[in-house]
Parts: sequence; structure tokens; C-alpha cells
Amino acid sequence: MRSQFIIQIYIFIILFGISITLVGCENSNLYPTENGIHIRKGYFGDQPKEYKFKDVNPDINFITKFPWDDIHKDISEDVFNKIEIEYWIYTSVLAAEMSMVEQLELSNLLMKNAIDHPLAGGEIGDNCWDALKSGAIGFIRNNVLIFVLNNGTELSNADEIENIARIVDEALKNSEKVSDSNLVPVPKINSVEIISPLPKTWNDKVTIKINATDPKKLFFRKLAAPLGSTSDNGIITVKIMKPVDETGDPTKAKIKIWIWNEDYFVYLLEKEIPFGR
Amino acid sequence: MFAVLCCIRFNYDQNSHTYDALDICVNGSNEIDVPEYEPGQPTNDSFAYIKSQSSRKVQARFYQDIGDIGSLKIKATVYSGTGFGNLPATWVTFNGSSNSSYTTFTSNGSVPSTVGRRVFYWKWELVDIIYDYNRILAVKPINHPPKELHKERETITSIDLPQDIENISHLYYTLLSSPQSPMSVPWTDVLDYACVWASGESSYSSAASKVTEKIYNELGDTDGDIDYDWPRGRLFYSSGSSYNWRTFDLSDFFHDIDNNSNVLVNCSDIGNLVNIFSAAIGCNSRSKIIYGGFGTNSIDPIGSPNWNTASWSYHQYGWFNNKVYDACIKIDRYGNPRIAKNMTQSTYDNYLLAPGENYSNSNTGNASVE
Repeated sequence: MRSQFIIQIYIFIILFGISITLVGCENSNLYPTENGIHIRKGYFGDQPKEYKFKDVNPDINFITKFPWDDIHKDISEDVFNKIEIEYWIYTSVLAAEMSMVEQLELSNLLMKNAIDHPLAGGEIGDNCWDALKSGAIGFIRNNVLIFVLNNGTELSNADEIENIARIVDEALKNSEKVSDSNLVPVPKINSVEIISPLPKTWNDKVTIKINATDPKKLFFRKLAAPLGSTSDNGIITVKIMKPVDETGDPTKAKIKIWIWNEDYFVYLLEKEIPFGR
Repeated sequence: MFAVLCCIRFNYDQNSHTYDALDICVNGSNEIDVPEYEPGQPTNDSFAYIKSQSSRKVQARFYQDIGDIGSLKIKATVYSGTGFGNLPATWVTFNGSSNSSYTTFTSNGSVPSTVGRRVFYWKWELVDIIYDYNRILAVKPINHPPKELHKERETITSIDLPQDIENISHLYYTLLSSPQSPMSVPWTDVLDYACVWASGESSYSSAASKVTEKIYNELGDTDGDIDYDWPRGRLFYSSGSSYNWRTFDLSDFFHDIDNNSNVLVNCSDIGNLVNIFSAAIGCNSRSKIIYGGFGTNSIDPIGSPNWNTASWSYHQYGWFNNKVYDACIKIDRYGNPRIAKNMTQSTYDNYLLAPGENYSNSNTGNASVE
């Protein structure tokens, strides 16, 4: 009996160890790699697109506040009226990279990565994509994804957009950081319930209710879903798709949902959905 | 009141529209119940026909409180609006009962020959009565000897004819032909736009052109317009897979334009809308995606963005009869800004693509609606 108990403990430890390894693997960001570049796959099709990212230091620190004040000091009001700065603050570099892939996948704007098409004025962010002629640049700095865009009404030129991106990046580099990602003030998730019948097969739909709290208003959207499907009540109906990106196990139905607040602090919820009979 | 109209069925045969109205619904969640007209229901449901159809049949049921009635002769006359004909006087059988079964009436006119969303009034009238004398005799043989019965008959037949029954308004849609996938059962939420926009048109190309123009110029959210997501062009309502963004969340889209003031779209959203809205009125339309990365000449996207050039990985637009119908952008090559409608691909390419630019691939396909 005792030996059986010990064996069970060993099995438990082995299984537990594997499970930790798997999670660790998922968060390893697939690097460091030999050439310093890792690939993230897109979310659609049998042969999803591939996106190149430069490896970054895995011990990166986390930005917990977007440095609006510092940015405002260096950009005139006149220029501010012609542009939009969008940002999202995540709890990991992986989430920021997944979000960048999503932004590239869900858009018809042709953006070039700075690995193959370096910016003449030097690097911006850890990873950067631009369509400066169309008035857009997006980059990741630590755990923050930023887009600088002309707003379409008061068009600004490519140099102006690039210059603003550099100002934003500099402000992020100089901003206060923490080593513990738990200190990034993302929404708190209390519970996740499946409130519809369970899916029977891939492509079936399931409705889930996320109970989350935050001082600010919250928004919810499935990863790679069109932006119009954003929910503000935590109830989301999603199609269960076979994962094609490298972060998913193709045998399990796992949905990934962005949950963010009005200050753009983003939590990436992963929920395994069992198949019903 | 001697006779009451209980209900009217326009789409009484839901497997065919050879004689009756088309199968339609309100949207993805709400059906249109048959009978379309019933007194006391909150709304008088609409129906749809294909242009120029004649001899449309409708079915109606009546209640009468005159007494022992064999049949009532009833007709309906259009007295206001553009209908699809009068319903000539037709005998409705009661056989002594207070309620008739459904009686089929055949219109003596035709559905208008152009697309439209029209309202008309039918004036229903009782024009003749046949009494059930056998029943009268059977029920009242002792107290009503033939002479007395004759007197009673004279009393009853003193009803002045014709007698008004009811005036009822109806809203109906006229389509070019059978609605096409993904709107083979069209939503009235869609027809309320498409049939108004293409009103008066009788050809596919002119109707699709009007739909295209109006999406660009008039389709609006609560502040009056929808805006292209400039410069990123992100998908807001379309999903699918790369270069096949043809699943459109129409319910979400309608919800948002009814409730939000900042609805954003990209070319896939608009290309799918052209496909869906023109299919609803009978165009066998598709959307086309050109891809491979290209720069554009100056374009003016839908909504607030101004004229500017863009670099796109792909572009999607309406496609019908091998012609371009693009409601997402205005193009301008020669100082004559225009919306591409009924335009050949080569002409469109000449307007859209910057000198030396080209796309490497294209595909066409039909939207699906969620």
C-alpha cells in the first residue's frame, strides 16, 4: 500500500512537473533563438501567416503606466490634433506579441517589419511594423503595444508620425518599471462560466460569462475576433476553432479572451472548453 | 359590424412563391409569423413579392354575426398607396358557422415593375350575402312557418350593401427576382435599406449601383455616418481566414449602427455589405478580394477620412456580373471623383492602383451571415 502511495506521489509530481513545464514553455516566447529572431504564427487558415519578431530579454521589466505627461511635453497640441496614439499594456511580452500579430492579421494595411525593412532613423521599440506612407506605425516596448496613426482628417506626414513614435518610445524607455508582472493593474477575473450547451465539435459555438472587476469600465473580445464583436457585459459567444498558432494544443478547445479596461490594461484569459456529448 | 376580418396570409405556402409572397424574416433572431395580419397584434407584418408578378393570391378568414349565413361575398379595393391590385369579390363560405375557413383571393393587378418598399391600404367590403335557409328552417320550423320565414328573410336582407368591413394598411417589398444567398430568406432589416435605396430601379446593375452609392453616401450610425478605420483598415464585422473575410456579423452591425455613434469598418465589411444588400433584392452578387500588396492612388474612404494614398495587403469590394461595385472608397484619376459601380476590373485597376503597382492574386466568393 505504502509503495503504491509513493508511486502515486511520483506520478503526481511527474504530471505536475509536466504541466508546469508546458505552461512555462508557452510563456517562454519561443526564444532565445540562435539568430535572435522568433516566428509567431497568425490565427487563420491551414497555413497561417508567419510574423518575425526580434528576441527580447526574458527578464524584461514591466511598464505599469503609460507616460502621457512625458509625451505631451514633447509634442505640440497642433500635432496632437492630427494623430492618434493607441496603446495597450499587457502582463507579458508574449501577450503583446500575440496582440501585434492580431492587429496585423485583422487589417488590410500593408505594414512592414523593421527586421526586413529597417527604419532609416534607427530602431523604434523592441519590435516594430510600419506603413509610414499611409500614416501608421506600431511597435512593442517591453509589455506595451503602441500604434501611432494619422487620424485621417488632418493628415500628417510620414516623418511626423515616425518622430512621434520615437518620442513615445523614449518616454516608455524612461518610464518606471517593475519586475513583478502581478503589479501591472489589469482587470481581476473572479469567475468564468459556460452558460450555453457545450460544443460538440470544432466550429460549434459556446457562450461564456466572465465575471471580472476593475475600477474602470471593462471590455471583452475573443482573440482574433473582429473588433465589432467587443462585449461590455462579459458575455461572449465564440466559435470553437482548432488552434493554428503555436501557443495552442490542437487537440484541446481553448479560447483566449482579451479583457481590458478604459485605461487599456489588458488581461489575456485562457479558458479550456470541454466538448459535450 | 356584420363581418370581421380575422386574418390575412400573404406567404401561406412557405415552400413556394409561385402564387403567394416570398419567405422573409425580420433578422437573424426574429421570424415573420403567418398570418401577417391579425387584429390586435402589435405590428402588421410585412411581406415581399418579385417585381411584375401578377395574380398574387392571398388568403383571409372572417367572422360574421349576421346569423345563419351560407356565404358572404367580400372584396378588397386599393384606396390609397401602390398595391398589387384589387381583390375582386369572392364568396367566403360559412355554412351557418360564425367563422369561415381560409378563402383564397386573387389580385386582379400586378406587383410594381420596380424595386420598392411600399405601403398601401385595402378597403375590405361585404358586397353580397347568401343565407343558409336550410339551417333557418331546421332550427326554427315550428315558430317560423314559411310565411314568417319569408318575413325574417326580408328583415335580414334589408342590410344595406356594400358594408365596410375594415381598412387595413400593408407594407410590402418588391424585389428584382428571387433573393439570393446569403439573403435567400431576406431580412426586413436589410430590405428596409436596400429596397429604399434601389427604389424605382428595374435592372440588376442599376439596383446594385444604387445600393453601392447609398452605402457609401447614406449608411449611417447614430451620428449619421460610418467611418473607415483609417489608416489601419481593421476588420470590425467580418471574419473568416486570410483573404477570405466573408463571414459577416450582420446582427452586430445593425445593433451598432442603431446604438453607436462611432461605427468603424474596413473594406471587407463594406464589400460584404454590398454583397448582402444586393443579394437581398435579387442580385446574384459576390465580393472580390484582390491581394498581394499594392499602393493606391488617392482614395476617399467611406466616412470621415479625407483623400489619401494607402498601401494595402488586400482590398475587398462588391462584385456582380463581372463588374466592380465598391462602396468603401471614392476613386479619382482624372479630377472626376467617383464611386466604382458597374465598372470593369481594368478600369477600376486604372483608377485604384498607383503607377507601377499591381496585385498578384484575387478571388471571388459569397458572404455568409451570422
